[in-house]
Amino acid sequence: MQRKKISLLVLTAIVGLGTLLSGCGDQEEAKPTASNSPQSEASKSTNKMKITMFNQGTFNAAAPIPPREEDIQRQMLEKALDIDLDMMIPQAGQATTKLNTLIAGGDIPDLIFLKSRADLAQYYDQGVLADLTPYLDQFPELQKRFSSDSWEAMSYQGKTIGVPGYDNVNGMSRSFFIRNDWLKKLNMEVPTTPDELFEVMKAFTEKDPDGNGKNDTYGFIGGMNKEGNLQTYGFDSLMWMFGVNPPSAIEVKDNQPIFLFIDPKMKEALAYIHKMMAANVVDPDWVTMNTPDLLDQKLFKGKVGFMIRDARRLEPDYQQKMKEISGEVPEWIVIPPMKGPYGDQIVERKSFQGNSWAISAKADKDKITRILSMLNYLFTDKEAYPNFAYGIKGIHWDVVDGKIKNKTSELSKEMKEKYLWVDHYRMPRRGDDAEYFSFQNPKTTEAFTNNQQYVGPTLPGNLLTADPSDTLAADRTRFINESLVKFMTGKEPLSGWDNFLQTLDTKFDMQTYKETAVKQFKEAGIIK
Amino acid sequence: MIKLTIGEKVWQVAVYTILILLSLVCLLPFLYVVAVSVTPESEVLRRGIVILPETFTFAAYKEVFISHGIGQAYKITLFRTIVGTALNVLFTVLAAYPLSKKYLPGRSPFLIFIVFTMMFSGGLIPTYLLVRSMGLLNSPWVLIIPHLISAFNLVIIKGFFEQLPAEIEESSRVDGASELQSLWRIILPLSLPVLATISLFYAVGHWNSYFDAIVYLNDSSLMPLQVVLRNILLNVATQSADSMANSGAVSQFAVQMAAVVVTTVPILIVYPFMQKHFTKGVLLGSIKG
Repeated sequence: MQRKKISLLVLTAIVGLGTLLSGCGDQEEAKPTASNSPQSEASKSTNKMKITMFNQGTFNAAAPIPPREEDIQRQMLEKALDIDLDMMIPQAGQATTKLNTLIAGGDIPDLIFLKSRADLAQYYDQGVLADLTPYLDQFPELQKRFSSDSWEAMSYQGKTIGVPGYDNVNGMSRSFFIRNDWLKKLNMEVPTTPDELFEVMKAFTEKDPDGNGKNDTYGFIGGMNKEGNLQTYGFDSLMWMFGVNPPSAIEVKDNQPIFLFIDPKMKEALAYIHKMMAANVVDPDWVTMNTPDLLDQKLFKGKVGFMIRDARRLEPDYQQKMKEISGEVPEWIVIPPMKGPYGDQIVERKSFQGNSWAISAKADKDKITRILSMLNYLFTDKEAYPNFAYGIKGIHWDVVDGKIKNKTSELSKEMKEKYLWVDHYRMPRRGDDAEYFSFQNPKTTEAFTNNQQYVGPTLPGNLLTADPSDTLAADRTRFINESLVKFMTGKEPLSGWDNFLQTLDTKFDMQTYKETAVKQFKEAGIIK
Repeated sequence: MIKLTIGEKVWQVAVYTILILLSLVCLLPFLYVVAVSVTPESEVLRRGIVILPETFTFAAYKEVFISHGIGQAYKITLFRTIVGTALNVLFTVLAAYPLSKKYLPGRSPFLIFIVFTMMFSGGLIPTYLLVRSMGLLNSPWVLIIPHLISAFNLVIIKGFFEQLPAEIEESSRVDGASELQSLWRIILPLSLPVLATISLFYAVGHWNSYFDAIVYLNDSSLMPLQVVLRNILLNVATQSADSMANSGAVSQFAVQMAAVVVTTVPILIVYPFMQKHFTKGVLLGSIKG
């Protein structure tokens, strides 16, 4: 009886395992039905090449994919290159899971948009991606389309393994906003140096610039995200006046890496911010400002006189919001960054070309060439440009007096909703194309264009990839951020700076980190 | 009326105060969500925390239903919840009933095989391959079929069937009922409490799940409610590289809260109805004394 039981168990187990295994083995014959249904009929023509595209570069992952008849951009691409384009839009935040599942399942998409250099290098190491070096010579225009540092970011172990994903936008999100009406009221000039800025902020705090008789205004507010990272929340912009920045900012000078977060100049930046804190110039709410939305609300309320915000907040929609919230529209203007003691005048450094288009290692020569031709068309065809960057002719843009006019901002909400999917194709747009942004307020355009001259070159530190054996990396970053905040608030006096550097070396193994950086810079040819 | 001593009175007051505070702690966040969803943004920003709005607006709800395609997502979620739960319960019962019969030959190997899946699973990629080879990718049925029977729920039902006295079934057999008839007419009416419980498990699972949709579906019109909710909460549309999307007149926060209300309330409403079955089913059982 007992034996019978066991043999039955074994039998069921074998049957069950067999079913499981056959599920794995069948993958070649069972063709995926992943393609969108309406297209299967049209794709039977002989010469057409089917190209699957994993587009996590879309500007709106929540937008639906329309049927082919409505999708003008897709028709353009398919016609120009005689391809059958099957685009896949992963849900935001789940793109990596989806891509890994596809790759493990053997369905590597032919064209993959990757968001970071780390991903690009990792997938290449795993043999998922093709080496594009031998093909790129055929596409001189595509090579010209992106700057040499963008292409540098695509090279890994001496090979070019990707095409830059799209232009980053600089000189927009970290604009220097100041209350012009307060300046006028207090008879002050637009500040041009850190010291002048301090005087202005002090006056904003103490001299009741809004004239309501209450001591409720502040000179400045910044913040940090929930992990305690100061980047992009305002204080980092103040640090640039001294040529330094919070962690991850690494510069190379005279064949030496310079870690801008522990540079001696950082002491001065911290002293400056501490002076602001001590003079109560910084709105004490800054500790709770851990999302950009909260800082925007401060901007709308208008009780702070100087902030780092996105230039687009000058647009009428936001002005309307300010009116609803505070009853009047504060006169915000965007000013050039202040010139620091070492001559630094920086809005931000040019963003690193992290994103990229990569091609599956499974694609043959013909396919790689065809895909690169498609990217070449997408990014360099002059006539096609507005169709991808702006949207549909006659709806999103039109030719007015022989010039192309982007009308997106004039569209009604319903129309925008109807054509949301054009966001899937916007990648060719140039990062400095003011027409693309379709600003309604000429001051926004002015601020954006002016800021361009204060965008510094990309920090070489972005090329570094994390060293997997460096187990202290996260703790080290946290410690540095925490210490910077302590110095800023005065919880730790600046006399403790050397102590801080020492702790970094002894407890957080800063030396190894420095050596890794030097080694990687040498490999990349930045340090000789 | 029993006279309470002072000490008891103090005790009573303290207990009530603590209970009221506790229930407020649970209720207030939800009230806040509802309040924000119907309050104009300027008021929210002016007052900070709103529980009782001064002015009402349903603009956020309009926005959620019109602009974010929640209507279509609702259809998909309702489909998977209603059809899915019905099929789940049907198949689970059909599997559990024979397995609850001790005289069934080969019962325990089957059971071991089923219980085995509760502890070990194939993982994401083998499951994906299986789903792909069954041609279920990008079909709404992928939300239902791969999880048709949950081993855990099967074991619960089987356990419940087993503790029903065999005599009831024997009596129906004497009256000439077939296996299916006695399942349908005798066993199931007695099992309402457990059926209600596992239906609720299945339904809530269907309502809340989003991961299978993300992995197996590409067509955005097939995405269930939770995927859309997630997009709204993560603010996907306005977070992308340099979206020109402007929030316009309706505040993003209000829209997010409205989306939370729209997606949570239906499943909250189900609970009281199920509650009725929990008590009734047990009390009205035919096994007496």
